[in-house]
Amino acid sequence: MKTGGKTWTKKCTVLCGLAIVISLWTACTRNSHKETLEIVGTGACEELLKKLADAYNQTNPGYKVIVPPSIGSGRGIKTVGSDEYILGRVARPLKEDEAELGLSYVVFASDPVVFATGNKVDVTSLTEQQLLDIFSGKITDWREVGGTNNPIRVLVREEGDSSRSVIESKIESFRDIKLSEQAKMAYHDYEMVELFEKYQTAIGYLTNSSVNSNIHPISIDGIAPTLENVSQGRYPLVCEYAFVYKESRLNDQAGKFLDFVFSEHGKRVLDSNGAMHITGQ
Amino acid sequence: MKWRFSLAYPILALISFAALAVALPLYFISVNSLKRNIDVMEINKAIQAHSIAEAAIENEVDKLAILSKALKEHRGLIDALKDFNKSGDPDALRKRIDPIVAELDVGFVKLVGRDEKIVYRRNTSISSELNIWGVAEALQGQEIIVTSRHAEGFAIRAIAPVRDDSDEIIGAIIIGFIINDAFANRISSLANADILIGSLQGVIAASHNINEEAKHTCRENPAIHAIMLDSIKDDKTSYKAICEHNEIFYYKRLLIVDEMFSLMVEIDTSEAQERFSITKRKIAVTAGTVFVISWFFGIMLTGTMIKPLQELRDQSCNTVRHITGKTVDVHSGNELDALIGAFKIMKESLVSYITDLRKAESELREHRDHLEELVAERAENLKKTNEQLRNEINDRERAEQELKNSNKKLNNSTLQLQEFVYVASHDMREPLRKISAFTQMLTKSLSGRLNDDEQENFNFVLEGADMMRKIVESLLAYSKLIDQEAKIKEVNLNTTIEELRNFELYAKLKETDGKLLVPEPLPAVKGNAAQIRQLFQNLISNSLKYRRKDIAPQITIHAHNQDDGMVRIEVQDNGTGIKPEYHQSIFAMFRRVCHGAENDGIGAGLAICKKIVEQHDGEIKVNSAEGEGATFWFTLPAFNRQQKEEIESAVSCKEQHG
Repeated sequence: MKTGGKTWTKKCTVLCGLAIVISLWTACTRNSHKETLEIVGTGACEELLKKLADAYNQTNPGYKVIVPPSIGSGRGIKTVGSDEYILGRVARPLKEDEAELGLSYVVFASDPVVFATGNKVDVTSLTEQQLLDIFSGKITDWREVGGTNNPIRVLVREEGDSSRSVIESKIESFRDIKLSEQAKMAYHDYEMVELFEKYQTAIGYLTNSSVNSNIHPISIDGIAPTLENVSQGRYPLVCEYAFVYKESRLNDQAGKFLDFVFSEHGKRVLDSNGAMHITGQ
Repeated sequence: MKWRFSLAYPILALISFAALAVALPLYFISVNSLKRNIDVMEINKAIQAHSIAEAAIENEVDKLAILSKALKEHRGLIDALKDFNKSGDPDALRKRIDPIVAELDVGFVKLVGRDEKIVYRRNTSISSELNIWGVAEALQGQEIIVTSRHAEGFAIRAIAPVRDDSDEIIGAIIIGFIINDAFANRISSLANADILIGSLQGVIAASHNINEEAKHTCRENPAIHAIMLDSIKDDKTSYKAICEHNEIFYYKRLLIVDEMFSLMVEIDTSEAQERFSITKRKIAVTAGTVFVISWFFGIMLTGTMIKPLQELRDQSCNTVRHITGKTVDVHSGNELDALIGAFKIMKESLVSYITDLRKAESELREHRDHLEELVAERAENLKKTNEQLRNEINDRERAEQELKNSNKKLNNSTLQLQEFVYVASHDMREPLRKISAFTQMLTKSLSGRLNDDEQENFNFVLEGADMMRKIVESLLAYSKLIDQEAKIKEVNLNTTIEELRNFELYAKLKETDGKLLVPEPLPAVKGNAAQIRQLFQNLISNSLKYRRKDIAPQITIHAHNQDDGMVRIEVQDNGTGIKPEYHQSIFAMFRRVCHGAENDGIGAGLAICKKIVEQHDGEIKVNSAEGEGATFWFTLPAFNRQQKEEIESAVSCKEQHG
């Protein structure tokens, strides 16, 4: 596309027009911003936050907290850093360059990352090595790990996903394996959930809060991903959800929502959805 | 020609600038918005194509699902598979299945036996059939559509369990498409745009319906691979468009069943580009036309504005030059400067003119004041002069009165003198006649008795008495002239002369053998007919009397009208002539030039002539030299018709009164 010097006049006029329109628009929409709070960011805690938001919205009529579809942790951090949004949701710690944006990082829940199987799998526990062999494609049938005769459908998440990152960070050999060529890749937890429903002999991983009745978390080396094990530190695969925001930009409503999240009500919501509330900030 | 700065230049520059300011933005804004519109249009086209491709793929998937459902219920297929399970004869199975699936619009067909072994295949290779997703699920009773790996990349498969009459699963039917170039072409022809389908591994299918080269270049293009990867991984990416020179690439992640792909459409924009450049040219022409028209009107406007200004300037300069003789420098500035210059000069000259005028006025006032003095002085002088004049007039009147008195006295004495002459001459005639008569009687009675001396003495007495009588008669006649009242009337000179020739002078002419010539008719004169007749008689007689001995006398009479209302009459003879010293004296009473027997007379004739002429307000002169004849000329009042009428009326009046 050509962007020659000739277009500068056009650009000037367009910029002037845009400046006017934007100033008018922001003037108009600033009011509506007071009414709503959008929490942007990762898809990992999307469902969890929606539930929190629903609970909050119910107790605070006239004010709406919205959890828009995922834009990823990275972009959530970036948009809050650029003051586009007040509150961001992330599922991973800040990177070095992100830390320089001067954002507050407040963990509000920990969500265990669980290995799980579909409905038709009767295996409930696997060793770390078995997991590695399954995901690398060496073991292809549940029979080989003590189950009934069914092909193992391997479901994985894309590189950089928070769940995958948690696993790769805690089980180092997982980072080095060559994934089975047959493995299907999901790009969202809900996609993962759908795949579990379709391929009932599948194995995959996802956050505990996304687990439903068709998905069955399994123990690793005998340790089940229970909140107790997690809280006691026996189960290491935990994804931490945090809010990022700029202290200076945090308005009353956003503050109120944060207060709600850390309130007893908020904790109940988190716990009942498979996540674990964070105490003592 | 010297360059002169005109207001037209900045105005023209301004107009040009304005015209440019109109035309250039018109051009750029139009072109840019056009470009933007075309881009948006092409992008929309791409989006549309993408949607169509997406829908087409979805449609293919749905079709597979429906077909698989239909096939698993197909009686022939169930029976064939059942039979095959019994017999294990693949050829028999093939023969029975082939006609069933021959017409199916799918990429490949497979049948799987209960043991997951492929028992029938169509359009697919042997090696690709191990452990595919969905088969186990299907053999467990699940109808499933799956996108999974294939030897050539990926395949979409619809897998359905085939059950026998007892609802026992006896196998599974697999139909599907391989996502390859053929599939891409299939979709491409529906979307009317070339498409690319990419996976994490790279481009797995590319159509070449529109652009043959694109397939290869895009497949190898790492940039395209990268953007496809991005679009697959980035769960937030909805779409992206890349506009190349003549192409737009529009791509979007696409979930085909349960695998994520990137679907890219490629739109050929060369046609739109061409349309754009044509329209751009039109816009350029329009903008140019707008510019030219604005400029043209601008020039016209400038003309109408500047022309009168220039005319005003020229007029002003001319006026200045005409009035003051100064030249305005029209080269130093614009029209207004020249106008201001002209105005300044006019102002200066007007100021100096007014100053002069005032000066002149004051001088005039002074002059007028002075003049009044002068006039008063003059009037004074005039008054004095008037006084003097009046005195003079009085003196003159007195003198005139005195003159009148003396004139009267003179007239009286003249009258007395005339009376005396008349009486004397009249009274003297009687004694003279007595002297003459008695002397003649004495002579007669003494006839014969007288000697010669005595006789001679008597003759002397007679002659003396005769002379005396003549003198007395002449005197009488002369005095009568004075006495006579003027009886003024028209006198026909021709008649007068003719009568003289025939009567009074007849004898003398005959005697002297003289000739009286009137070569041309003589004009009528106004006067006393008897006196004029006397005048001519005297002059002609005079000429005859002083004739030359050797030749016969010849008298010629000429006359012509003069401008002063007189008639000049000349009586010319060829007689002895008169010495110039006598020219004056001959008109005196009793003066004769020579005395001789022949020239008897008392010298009263010419005096009478002079008297007659003077009584008619004329003059009489003689031109002559001795021996060369003489020409007497005199003037008499001319007679004209008007005078004739006056005279007639006067006569008639007299007659009435008389």
